[in-house]
Amino acid sequence: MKKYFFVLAPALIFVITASFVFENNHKENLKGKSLSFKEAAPMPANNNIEKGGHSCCGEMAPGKYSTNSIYNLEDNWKNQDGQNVKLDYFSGKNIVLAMIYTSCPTACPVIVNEMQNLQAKIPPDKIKNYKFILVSIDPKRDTPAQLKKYADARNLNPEIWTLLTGSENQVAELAQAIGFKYKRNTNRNFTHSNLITFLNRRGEIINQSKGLNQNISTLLSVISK
Amino acid sequence: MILKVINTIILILVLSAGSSAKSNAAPDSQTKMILIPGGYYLPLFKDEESSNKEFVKPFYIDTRPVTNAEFLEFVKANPGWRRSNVKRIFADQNYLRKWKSDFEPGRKINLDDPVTDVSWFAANAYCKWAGKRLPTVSEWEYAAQKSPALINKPGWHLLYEWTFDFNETTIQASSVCGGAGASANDPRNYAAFLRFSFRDNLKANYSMDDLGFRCASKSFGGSLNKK
Repeated sequence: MKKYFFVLAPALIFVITASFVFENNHKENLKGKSLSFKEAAPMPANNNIEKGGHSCCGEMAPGKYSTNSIYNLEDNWKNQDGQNVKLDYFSGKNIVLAMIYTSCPTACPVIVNEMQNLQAKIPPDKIKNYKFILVSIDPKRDTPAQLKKYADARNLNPEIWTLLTGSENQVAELAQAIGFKYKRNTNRNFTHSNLITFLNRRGEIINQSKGLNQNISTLLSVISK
Repeated sequence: MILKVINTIILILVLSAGSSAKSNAAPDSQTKMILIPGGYYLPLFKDEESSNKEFVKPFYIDTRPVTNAEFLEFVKANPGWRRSNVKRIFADQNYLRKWKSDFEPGRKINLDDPVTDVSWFAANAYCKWAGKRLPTVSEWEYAAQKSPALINKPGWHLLYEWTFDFNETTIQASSVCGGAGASANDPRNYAAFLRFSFRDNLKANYSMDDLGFRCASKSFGGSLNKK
């Protein structure tokens, strides 16, 4: 009996220790999985943004953004090509962002027009520093395919424009973060703010244009700051 | 003897696995919820583009707001929501300001009282963690109409509660003065006026003394431990 004890006691201690170590490692791994930006937001190698040797994105470690950055929103969105994208993928770019829905009859086309006019005013050698983002507030109907259709119909250059769709909760969180107000009406349209938001390279709001038909030069002065 | 030892090892393994799985889950003792049967709700403000009445689907809602004790559990399980860690975009500097420290509400705080000084983002994250969600404005107001006891419990100093889409009201109720009052469905409902007016002036990272929250769900108790 004693013999068994001397053999088994260390073995037991070893197994118990090993099980705890294993468990902790396992926990760490899980933690890493949910927090790692690179792992959770794999961007395809053929993505247009990465072309031209300009590598803007995904380099910042978690927690590197300021406490006011919208890049603290960590959920995955889908772009018009159906790829997973986290907002911080766009870090390093100046962002012009609007929340719209593609079946929007009146206000949204005006906003997108304004953004296109703005894009046209940015010198070609500077445009690579900018990203124009449209986020759908209508996830039920604005599938990636629908976003793609919309982008094509409006001639939105995919190297400059990204259209995103996500869950109702993601949309609500982003809307809250930038102060965008919206409400679905029973007739399937939305009442919503008309808002273009400008973010710096770290995802902080530097300015917002409220209302339709803003003066382009005013917007440009905002964006070139 | 060998068998005993092996049994012990297995038992220890099973126990430690069990405890690790449990450590990150929402509290087991769920807040009581009640079923609010579906029905028509008359929003306070008229919607110009639709008929006045809005159909609210059946849902469950907590019978009381989330307490300090419950919120403490959430904060312990989610480091990002500790007072010292929280991002300003998600909660302003008043977040949990009356608590003594990250994990100590302090003697002045009654653990069973509704938690206040929490932002919309925090409330939203809590409900998600509990397998639930925040009620919409329509659901909250409808529940309050159907079952006034839900919001009128003596001893609570809570005046307002977060709703999922509190920011939607602004568009129609941009101010609660004479003009907005004229288009309201029930101009006598002064408390509701106050609530809509209050929501209108909120931002999602505000944390305020009289502002707490409760959660709702499509099913009883939410979908706990779905992960």
